[in-house]
Amino acid sequence: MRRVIIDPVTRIEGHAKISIFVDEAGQVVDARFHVTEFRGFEAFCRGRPFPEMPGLTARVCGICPVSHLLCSAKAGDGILGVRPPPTAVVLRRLMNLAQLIQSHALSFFHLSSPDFLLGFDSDPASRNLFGMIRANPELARAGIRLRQFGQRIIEHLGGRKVHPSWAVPGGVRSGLTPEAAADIREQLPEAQATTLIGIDLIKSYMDRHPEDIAVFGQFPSLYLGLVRPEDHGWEHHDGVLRIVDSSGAVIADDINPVDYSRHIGEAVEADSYLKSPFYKPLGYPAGMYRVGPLARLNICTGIGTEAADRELREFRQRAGGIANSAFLYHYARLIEILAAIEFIPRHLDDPQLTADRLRAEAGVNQLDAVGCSEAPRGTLFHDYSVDPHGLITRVNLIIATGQNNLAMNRTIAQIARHYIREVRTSVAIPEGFLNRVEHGIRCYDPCLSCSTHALGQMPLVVRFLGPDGEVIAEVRR
Amino acid sequence: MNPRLVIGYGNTLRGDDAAGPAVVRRLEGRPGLTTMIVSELVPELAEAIAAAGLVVFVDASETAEEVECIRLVPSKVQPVGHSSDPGYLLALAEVLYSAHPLAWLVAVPAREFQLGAGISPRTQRFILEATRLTESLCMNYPC
Repeated sequence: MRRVIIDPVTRIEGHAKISIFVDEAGQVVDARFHVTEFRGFEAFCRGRPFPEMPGLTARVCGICPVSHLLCSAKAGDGILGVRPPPTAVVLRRLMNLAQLIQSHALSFFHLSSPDFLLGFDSDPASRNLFGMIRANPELARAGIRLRQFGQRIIEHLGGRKVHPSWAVPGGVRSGLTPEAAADIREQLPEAQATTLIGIDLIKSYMDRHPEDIAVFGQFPSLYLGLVRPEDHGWEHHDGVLRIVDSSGAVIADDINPVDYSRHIGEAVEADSYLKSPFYKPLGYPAGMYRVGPLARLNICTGIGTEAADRELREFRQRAGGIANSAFLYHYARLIEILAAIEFIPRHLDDPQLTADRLRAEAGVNQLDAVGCSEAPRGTLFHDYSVDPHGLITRVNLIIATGQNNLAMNRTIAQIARHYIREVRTSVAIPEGFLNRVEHGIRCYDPCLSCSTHALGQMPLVVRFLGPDGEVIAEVRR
Repeated sequence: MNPRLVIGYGNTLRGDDAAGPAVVRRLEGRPGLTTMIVSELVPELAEAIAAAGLVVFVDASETAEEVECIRLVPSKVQPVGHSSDPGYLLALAEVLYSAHPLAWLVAVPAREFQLGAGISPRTQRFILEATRLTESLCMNYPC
């Protein structure tokens, strides 16, 4: 068997490489998204007082600290055995919506839309944000401002854009000032207008390129995420877990996130530090499931806001029901931004927002606790055990990127099978093919810094390896 | 407008990677300086960079043998990952805001990046020198 290695994928976080396996006849048979560095964060946390965990885990990754902060604080709530005051819950939800906005805006406008505007076969030197600025300067600037809007909300709440140690076990440290709330309100119309332009862009692209929907990760899988307990609607911070299959049938419902380990197993492959979670009843790898925007829209009964629900209906109409193509992650991200923009004023109008009580106080009341929330890339679990003094004895983090690992492998294989008919010695890999493989990964917007706690960046390297592992061709970019 | 901006970046949990933030912490509160400490460079920093006349980035460097001072120019090569690099941010500031600040990178030699290790004694010594160099760059820049 031969391997085609793409090392690493550009424009995603962390250091990873891709191997594409081909048989003796030169046909693509499998693909693997490797992760090659490990930071040992779970071991590092042992012995730490659990109240430190939100601040520590927020430093897992400089890209999505807010997701870890909030999830860790929820695990801390569990150790204390308390429910945060309603005001703290509203404030945490506001911050999570802001995180969705800024992260999705980065994924769509900075990283992915150059491919839509400029094409997969365009020169990689210009197929970037600057090329996009040349092609559509107003959209590029608006996309940047949309991300800034999300960051600004986070700053209003947490006081710092990065690693805001604001959420704590039992609640939050500070509220939202009326001036900050007014500032957020003022920016909502522009944020919504930008999002709608983005939605028009992706729908127009999909109309012109239906093959991308068919090729970029179009296969049946399970979908997992949080839903609102009362109506199984779209949820991003609290709620219960739901799992649906590729036909939309609900196969597990109303799962308390605390019980996640009864339903989710974690496989470890020898060639990757990225754990591969799977749905236990179906085993590994048949229990492959996807998380993130695509999953959240597939599992929910509805979103609960006017514009986002309108788009959700079109999303489902275009997908023919359940959306099984990873390419639709892009569309789903924009719908989620829209939902966030619609939910934010509801939270700002919530009378609880201005109450004084922000934090529930307690000692250690539970020795095991699980925090669960929806990070932009998917469902995030922080599972802690502590001793009676509150010192961490065990940590397990299940990260969105890991949960999509199996699906990313399959997406790469599908793209490779479609665009490479036969791999032979000294074959030239077309630039467009590499771009498409990278984009297939970017559909999931993985953050490997989170998933493996890895650092490191390298240029793009493509290697062909023969049946005995020898490099028979190499391409660098 | 604050014309002199110093940005220290690195993960403060990872040993010598905290060198950039450590330098900037020593400069916090100096008159005429705006300081920022971030774990990674992200695109929206371009706005603050565009508002400055001088920008000094301070970062740990695995390859530097001595404290290095490197003149930066805008780079339109999009970096790997969600994070940015100084040249890319300068290019964003140029393209988006028509800003052309003078920019330097102060590279602090660093070797130990173990999680929770703290800054090594060797890098600590370089931090003192890097702090003086960064301050000198800023003070020599006319307001």
